[in-house]
Amino acid sequence: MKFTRREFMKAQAAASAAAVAGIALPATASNLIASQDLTKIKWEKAPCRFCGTGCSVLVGTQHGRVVATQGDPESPVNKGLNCVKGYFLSKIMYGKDRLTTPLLRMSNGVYDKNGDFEPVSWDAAFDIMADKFKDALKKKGPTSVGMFGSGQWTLWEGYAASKLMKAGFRTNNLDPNARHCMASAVGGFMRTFGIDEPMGCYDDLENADVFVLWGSNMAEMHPILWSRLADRRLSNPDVSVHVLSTYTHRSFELADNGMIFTPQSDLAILNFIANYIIQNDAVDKDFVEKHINFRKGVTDIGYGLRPTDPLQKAAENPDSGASSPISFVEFAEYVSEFDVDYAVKMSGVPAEKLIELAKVYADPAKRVVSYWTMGFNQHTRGVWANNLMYNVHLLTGKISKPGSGPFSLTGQPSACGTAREVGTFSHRLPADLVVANPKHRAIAEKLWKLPEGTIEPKPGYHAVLQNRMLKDSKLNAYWVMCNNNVQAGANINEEIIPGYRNPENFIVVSDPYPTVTAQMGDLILPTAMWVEKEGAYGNAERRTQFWHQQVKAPEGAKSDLWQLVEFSKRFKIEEVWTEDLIAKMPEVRGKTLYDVLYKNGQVDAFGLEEVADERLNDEARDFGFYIQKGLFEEYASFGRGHGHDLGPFDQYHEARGLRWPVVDGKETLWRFREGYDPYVEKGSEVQFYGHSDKKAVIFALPYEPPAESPDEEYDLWLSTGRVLEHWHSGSMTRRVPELYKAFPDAVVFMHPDDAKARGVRRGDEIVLASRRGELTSRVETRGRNRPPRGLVFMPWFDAKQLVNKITLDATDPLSKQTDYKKCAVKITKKV
Amino acid sequence: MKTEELHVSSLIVHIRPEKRQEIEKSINLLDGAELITVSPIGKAVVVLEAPHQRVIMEVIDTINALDGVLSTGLVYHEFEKVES
Repeated sequence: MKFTRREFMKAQAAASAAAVAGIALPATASNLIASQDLTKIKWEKAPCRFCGTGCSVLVGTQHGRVVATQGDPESPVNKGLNCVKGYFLSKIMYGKDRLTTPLLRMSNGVYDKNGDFEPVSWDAAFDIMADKFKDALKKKGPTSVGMFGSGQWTLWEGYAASKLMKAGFRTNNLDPNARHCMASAVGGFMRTFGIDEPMGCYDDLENADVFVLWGSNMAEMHPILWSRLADRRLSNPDVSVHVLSTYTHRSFELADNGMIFTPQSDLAILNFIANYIIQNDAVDKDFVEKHINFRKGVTDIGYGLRPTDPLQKAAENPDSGASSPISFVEFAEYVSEFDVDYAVKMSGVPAEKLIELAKVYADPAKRVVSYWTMGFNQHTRGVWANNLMYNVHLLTGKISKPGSGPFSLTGQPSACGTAREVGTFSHRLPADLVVANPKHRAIAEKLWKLPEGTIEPKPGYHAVLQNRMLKDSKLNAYWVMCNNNVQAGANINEEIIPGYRNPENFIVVSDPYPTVTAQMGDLILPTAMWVEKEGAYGNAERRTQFWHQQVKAPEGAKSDLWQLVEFSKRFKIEEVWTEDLIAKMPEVRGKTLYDVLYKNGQVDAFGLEEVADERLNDEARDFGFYIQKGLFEEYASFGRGHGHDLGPFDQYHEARGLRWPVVDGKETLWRFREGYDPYVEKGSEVQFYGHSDKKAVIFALPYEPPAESPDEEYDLWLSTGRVLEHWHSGSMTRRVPELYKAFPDAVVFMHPDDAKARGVRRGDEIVLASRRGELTSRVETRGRNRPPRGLVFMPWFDAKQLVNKITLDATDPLSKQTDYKKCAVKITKKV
Repeated sequence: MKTEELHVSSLIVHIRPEKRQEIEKSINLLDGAELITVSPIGKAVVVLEAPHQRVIMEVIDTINALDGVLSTGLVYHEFEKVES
């Protein structure tokens, strides 16, 4: 290759970056650009496989393999940019240990819970699996079977799973790993607004005057949104950025007002801000008068621990979300005790910083966006934290308009789409319907063409409860799909592994790779991933995005959708439904679950003629109909006309996603506001139509302490979280050599003085212990995360150092989401 | 003849404009990195060339850790086999 070729490549690279950045290049750099020698790579769009931002990437395939990815210049989300994880996306499917055959624990040729994994055929795998599910159903009924699913499932995978569990097996023991991620956000939305998901969208990033990050390290966890935020801040000197966290991290580099607060005191700070707004006459009185109700919530609600736990026994109103109406005056009186002195005392943040923060919310001229991630959601008062955040925006009317609003960022690519909108939670059905409501069950049964009474009214076991019930032998046949919960769940040694290895249980794990969870199971099913199948995700701003299958999965690996639907063929309706139920619809007699759930005239309504001949679509060709389209259209019928409208299937394959509600082909940017949201009646300006009186609720709620705080023996806070290079449990990113090398092993970030006081130095091996167990790691006193004295931070991506062996399985009693940010630990030098 | 790879990437790096000079100097000192231009608000275009993708990752990490660097986004990547 000649020198000129290298120069050409560099010029091309520079020109692409300049175009994305919207800046001009010096003439010397730009005049080299000529038309590129087109390689034989085929490019097609797909949303990124990782976080909830929902960047669109162009996937380059060649000879049946993904060889390259690049940021999609046509995407309104990432506008041609990629973060480092997205940059290496092309490699996630090609880890050396990719699974291509089902593996069953066996001894002497037969299943044995204590045997070693041996390859079996798909037929043999489904045989034993069906036996075990049937056995459990026969012995103990529907509550003894269950499934743990995913915010990384495609929409139709989550929907197919929901039908199989809730209608087929008639169990509500279905929950997604998104329970660990944004259940508190869901709880907050439902309680305040009566309808789930953010009112605003990413366009707020270009419109806000002030950004406030509450327990979110956006610079590392949502880097592309962070680059949009940085752009806004750098190009407008009047824009300010406020960052709140329990330790200093990369997002503080852009902060005009950075605040380190004592864990849990966010509740006190939020109440102080509400009080400040009232005391300084900054309430938008007209808005509050027209659109708000006030309520006081019950307190002392416990910590979501086992009922036998002393903390749980001591609670006056365990698990209660009850509340009673109050007036604005009573609310003002309630928050009046949360003055700045109180907030300073609780949080440790200097008064002037807290006042500066309160002022930007109170200033009617400033448009403010609040962003939060796991700091609010993984919190034993997570729903309260969400409610209190909404209080601040509702008091000032800074909501549902460009540049102003509260916004919960999500961690998984389809936490919103699949977990929340499809409703794969143990209490939910599609489009915000819930199993406990008889009218909602009736709607689902009608749309699914099933007899009345098919769906059980009692919510099933949620994520944490599933583990407890496995341990207690109440849940016996269990399918884990598209997640790594033995690494991700809290208190692994005491509450997770015992259930997986309980001799009474049969555990199936579907995954592309032999994760920690797969290795704890009894049967492993090799799984096709990402662009090896047709898919759809819903991102954090209500944007639904589709992709086509672009490569074949490795021989032997099958998609989650294929697994769910194929498995349903193994069950005759008589084996899963009672005679009473069958008698209500005798024509189902003799049929399989496959016939009743998926060959129901709706899911199989679209034929193969709709799949172009040159297109890959393994599932459609296997089942003989366009199953993704049929599932999507049946699912969409739940939300159309009810504020959850999705557009027509084919439109999504063309567009770079659309934000629901999509009415008359038009997406909705800001919900609840006239002029943007078609569901708001003319002349009403704002309607929070999730509640029947179209008003939102401001809640009076106090500070309550965390489940566990440092004491003399366990004298440090432990906060866990993520790093830029790895995504969640690392099952994909740790298999990309470049990302692995960039951050190979987890470390414990701590203050140099805390290290010194324990006789340890940077790089030393240490034992990190809690009341539940211990692990060995190394000390890091420099670098990207700098905790204050008294707190340590450890990421959880590293399967060799399972930090969740020592975390506490305390949850928010309302959302059932685990608090991974607060437990008490001690550190000693490893000898 | 030995076959080697040449990787070329471009980045958009957001920087604190007041730290422009130091950052520009530091980036240009990195092996295979060249800062092409910086806009007045602090948006820099950086081009990287390296014999392996891993080296690119290392350079990105180094840039990320520089004082005054706010964010790094990747735009373009191309590689070719080079006969030497």
